Amino acid sequence: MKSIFLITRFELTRLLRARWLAPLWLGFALVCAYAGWNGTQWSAQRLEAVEALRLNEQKIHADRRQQIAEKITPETKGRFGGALYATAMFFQAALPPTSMSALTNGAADGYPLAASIAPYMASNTIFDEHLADLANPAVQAAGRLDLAFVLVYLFPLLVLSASYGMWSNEREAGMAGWLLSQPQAPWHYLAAKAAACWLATALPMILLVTATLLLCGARDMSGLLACALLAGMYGLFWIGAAIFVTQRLRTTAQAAFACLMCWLALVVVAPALALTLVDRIAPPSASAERVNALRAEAMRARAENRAEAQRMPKMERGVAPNIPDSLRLRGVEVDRAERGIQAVSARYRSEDRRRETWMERARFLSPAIALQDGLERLSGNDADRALQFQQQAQRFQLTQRDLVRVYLAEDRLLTVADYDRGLPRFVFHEQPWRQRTGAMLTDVLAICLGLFVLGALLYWRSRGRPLLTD
Amino acid sequence: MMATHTLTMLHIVVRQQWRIMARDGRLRWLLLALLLVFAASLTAAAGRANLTLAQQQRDAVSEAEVWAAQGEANPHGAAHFGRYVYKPWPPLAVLDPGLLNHLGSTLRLEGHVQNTGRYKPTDRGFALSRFDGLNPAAVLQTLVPLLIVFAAFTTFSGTRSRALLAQELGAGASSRLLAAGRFAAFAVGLGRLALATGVLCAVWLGARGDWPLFGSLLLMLGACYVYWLVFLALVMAISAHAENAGASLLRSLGLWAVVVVLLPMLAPQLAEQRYPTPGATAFHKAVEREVMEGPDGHDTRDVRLGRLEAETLKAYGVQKIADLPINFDGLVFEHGEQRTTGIYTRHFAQLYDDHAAQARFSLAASVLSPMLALRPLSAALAQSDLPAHRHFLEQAERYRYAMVQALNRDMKLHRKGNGLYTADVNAITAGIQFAPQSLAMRDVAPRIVQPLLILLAWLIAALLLLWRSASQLGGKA
Repeated sequence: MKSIFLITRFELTRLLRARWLAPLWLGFALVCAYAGWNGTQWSAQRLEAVEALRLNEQKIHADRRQQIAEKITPETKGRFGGALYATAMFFQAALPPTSMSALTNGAADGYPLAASIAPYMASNTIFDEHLADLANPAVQAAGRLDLAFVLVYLFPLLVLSASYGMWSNEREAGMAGWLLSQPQAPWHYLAAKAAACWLATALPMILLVTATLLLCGARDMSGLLACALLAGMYGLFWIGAAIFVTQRLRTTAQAAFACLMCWLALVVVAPALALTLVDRIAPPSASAERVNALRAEAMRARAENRAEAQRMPKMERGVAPNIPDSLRLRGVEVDRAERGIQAVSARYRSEDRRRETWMERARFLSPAIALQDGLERLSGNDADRALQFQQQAQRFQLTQRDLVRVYLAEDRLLTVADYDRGLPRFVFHEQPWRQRTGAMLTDVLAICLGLFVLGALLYWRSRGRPLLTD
Repeated sequence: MMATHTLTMLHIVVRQQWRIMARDGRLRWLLLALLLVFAASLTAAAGRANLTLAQQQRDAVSEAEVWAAQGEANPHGAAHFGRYVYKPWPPLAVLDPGLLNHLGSTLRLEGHVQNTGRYKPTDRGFALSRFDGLNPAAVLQTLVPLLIVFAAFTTFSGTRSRALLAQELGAGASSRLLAAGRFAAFAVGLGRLALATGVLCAVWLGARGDWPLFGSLLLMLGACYVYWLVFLALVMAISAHAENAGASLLRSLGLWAVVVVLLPMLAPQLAEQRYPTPGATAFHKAVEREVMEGPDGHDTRDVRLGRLEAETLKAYGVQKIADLPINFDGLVFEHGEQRTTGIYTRHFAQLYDDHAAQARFSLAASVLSPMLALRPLSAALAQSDLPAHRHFLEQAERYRYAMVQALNRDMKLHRKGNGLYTADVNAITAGIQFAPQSLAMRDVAPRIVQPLLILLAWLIAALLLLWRSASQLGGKA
């Protein structure tokens, strides 16, 4: 063990004296700074949008309160239904970015940021207003240069650029034979060189990413630690890959070529092919088809409502109620429509769940996918969180419908006191930590699996003649 | 005599380079892997396009049935209920999807509002979706340059390190001739690769009967070929300069990383910083404000409504709205639609102009990366770029306006009875059909001239650089 430590120290000194190391760190720091700034800008825009929605909701509530306080008279009451009837309450639900949001925009752009909710609105349409995206698609197609891109794509390239010649350099310098003639097991050299490489390249880069995140406002210490842990393991995987790929190669050029091929295969080609495969096995549910099915269901419900309206005798009341009966009837129609919406959506939801399962399984195909997934979860811009938001927003709407039923049953109008007390507000509840940790641990496990497979392959390949000397 | 001798020498160099390439097992495997990845991505893209087209046809039928199922309905209510139209998948987008994955292909058409495309393929993504970039165009634009790097990085540095270059020069071949011969050999090899990919694409187009698109396909592959030659010349120039094969490989890879990966990613982002566009919320707020308050804030909706009422009463010579021979609500909707359409069109035109300015910025950055010239050119020919999408949106908007105004007009011409006015909305709009046309080549041509010229300029510059580097080879051998 002591000899490994000594070789590591020697290799580390050699690496730290290399002329290319400082420019590598500097280049990486510059890219990190740009990526961090880019992520912060994106995050700030989202925060601004969320704040604008909150203010809009506040303004609407304040205007309605003012209408009740200053404008409504018994004669003009009918004109201010929006302020008086609980059925017209309006809410805005938004998914706030987390403090780690600058890490990556992840899947967030593909999901609605917010929902505009009214109790009687069809539950499948509450996100419609926020589906519009006017950003230049050319920017989205080019991909965001964020810190996740830096870690998933560039970091392994730079680690490989420092480790591809780990053994072939010794061979080319004529040192391999001499080294192997020393009383040291060959794996001692490899382990020490790998450790030195990790310490000189991967570790400083991880620290740079962590520092960038801190400068970008990340205050979640456990998140920062998890990010560093994932990146550290990922770096180790790539150093292992460099050892495995270059172990038997004769020249440094061959080693560089093989490392790049490995990077290309695991970071670019394999995930892309995996996605193509998932698209085949579990394609996304057809959104346009779902909309048509829901619209057809709405037409069916409307016909049913009309038929029922003709069958039902007109309600006679001695005294006109505060809330018109038409709104009570509308409530019955909304409930009927909701049952239809749930029935139609069930099929598409199960297709989406199936796809989600396959997407999550794909994490085990390449550590790059697992790292991307982990970083998205840490940044709070992952698909799971976005889906949680959608579920919570829809549940919030159903809760408000229950509240409306109470108002209708009591024939109670909204008052200034109600507005002063504050109407219900949507608050996003983060996933329980156990669930989040479980998902993160799966990512860690996926990278560990990659390391294990690599280790097993290395062992298998190293039997007999681990390193070339000639 | 001299020319014949030079040609013979050139022929020998080309043949020798061919032999080296043919015997290079590493290159054979790489080429095979690349063609497999290309074929796999083309098959996947073709499969997805077929599925999308079939799905769109089913959706269009269902949508028409839903619209007809309204039966007797209030025309303005029907305008709010709206219709959906579907953007046809351009056949060449199989080869280059351009921006299609980031543009919704479903458009909701409704009264008062102009929407943008919905349901993008990138919607509802997961971590794995981030790796969605391997389409046939990406293989040609990103991976083939990498293949060029691996094939050509030892062109001079490898032979020099083996002291062969000195022998070749000593045998009577000039350094420029060596460079020209090797460049020609690689160029022929790349030409064959372009031909192979062209045949694969032609099979797809031919199977669909899209013969008129062969011209566009040829242009796309031609531009791609020029781009490859640029890369080849640059890598060979690096190889001529580098002291050994390792340095040549690292520098060539650095060039690939910067020119093919980083700059094409950075340029659109910097363009967005330079020409910022409003977010969706801000955009719709601005439109809404103008609709409610007028362009200068002094012509509010209430004022406009009062003016319309007075003018209408005067035109029909009556005192009260109830005495009008038309449905005043319908008239209000008709006027309102005309006004909001004008406002939306102006705001969207501004947005698209900003996007066009961003595209110009990115194209200007192509002086640093030829890929920034190739990408818009290829997407323009495939009709998968923003102008092609805008062309579709404009056609859809004309259809939307005609449909909504037909509904409003019908309402205007029928006075209110006791209840809500209803009519067979399907019959009212039956005569208005939506049949989007793709852009003609004459509309696309002006957009490809500039990128094509930039690519050619790159080729000339790269060849000059290779020429200059080759002339210094003698001293380094």
